[in-house]
Amino acid sequence: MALDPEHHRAFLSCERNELMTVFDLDKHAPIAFLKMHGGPDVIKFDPGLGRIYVACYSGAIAVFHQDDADHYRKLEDFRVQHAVPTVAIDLKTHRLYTPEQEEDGKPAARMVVYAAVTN
Amino acid sequence: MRTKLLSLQFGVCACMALAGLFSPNAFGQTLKQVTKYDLPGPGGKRFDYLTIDEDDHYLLSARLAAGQTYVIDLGTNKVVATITDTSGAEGVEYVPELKKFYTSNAHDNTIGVVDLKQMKVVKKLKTESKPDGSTYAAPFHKLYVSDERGKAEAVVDVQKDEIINTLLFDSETGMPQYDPVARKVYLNLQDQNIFAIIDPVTDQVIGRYPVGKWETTAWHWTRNTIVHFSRAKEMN
Repeated sequence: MALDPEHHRAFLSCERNELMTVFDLDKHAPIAFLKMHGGPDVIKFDPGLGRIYVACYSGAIAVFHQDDADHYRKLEDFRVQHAVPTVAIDLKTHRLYTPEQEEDGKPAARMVVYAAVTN
Repeated sequence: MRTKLLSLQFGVCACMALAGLFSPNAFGQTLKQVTKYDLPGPGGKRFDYLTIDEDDHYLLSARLAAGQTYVIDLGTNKVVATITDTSGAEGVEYVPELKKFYTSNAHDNTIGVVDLKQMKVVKKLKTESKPDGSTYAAPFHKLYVSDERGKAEAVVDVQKDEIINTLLFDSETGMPQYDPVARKVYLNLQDQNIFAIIDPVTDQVIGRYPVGKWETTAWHWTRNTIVHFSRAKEMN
């Protein structure tokens, strides 16, 4: 779960149906369901860019955009190594951090840093 | 000729539509790799939650399958400490005013208290089964830790480093979040697709709402039907 306290929204990474669910904290009801890549796990929100990121174990970071509090769209399933279950955002730099345990199927242990492209 | 032109136009449009549908990058690239660096410990072992200590500019990285938690300097991308004795570390949460962080140790069912000045575990709190995600409610000095398999939420007083409450549910508990605007803790009851709201003043559950697509429809249908029949009964 990630939160947008300013707009009273919660973002839920639902593993079983692989849907990113937007929950309205005033109405206490979901208002949007967006499809994700397989094995969604940790979800984070960057309010500065209006982006929601979900680390998907099958090998992607699902990237969504908050157009406004009620409207959301998927930007990309950004491909990463298999078995990446987690992500962190530095909200000052908008950089993402994802640890990898595999590289092309071989064991690895490393941190990968991404910058947000916003053009 | 006109038929051929229309066919050509249709073909081009169809190709563009298909390209858009199947392109992995239909909206343009959103991320760009800046750097990567090796971490200590064996390869192939699963990582779990990350959190950022904005005061020290540290990235805290729980590594479930290696039983380690890394403190990484975001300015230099160097690992400044490897915290051991965090067996099966899943959740990790930072408490800024006390310069401590807490790990959810799924393998020995404990919550580890890590002093950032000493860079070591200073206390372990026994909890239910498989502690996982956690969140910090700063104004209340309380840490909420989901015991996923224990179907519980442990409430830790971070000033005493004691578990002061354990909330029991009839579902596995997912990642909790503290909302600083509403001053509430939210919790996903993941077996039931229920969004629960906890008041950190009383540690009571004050609301439960369906989250899933079909559950929500059924809930609204049931509620509307009950309202409809109640009104019909009142009118009779």
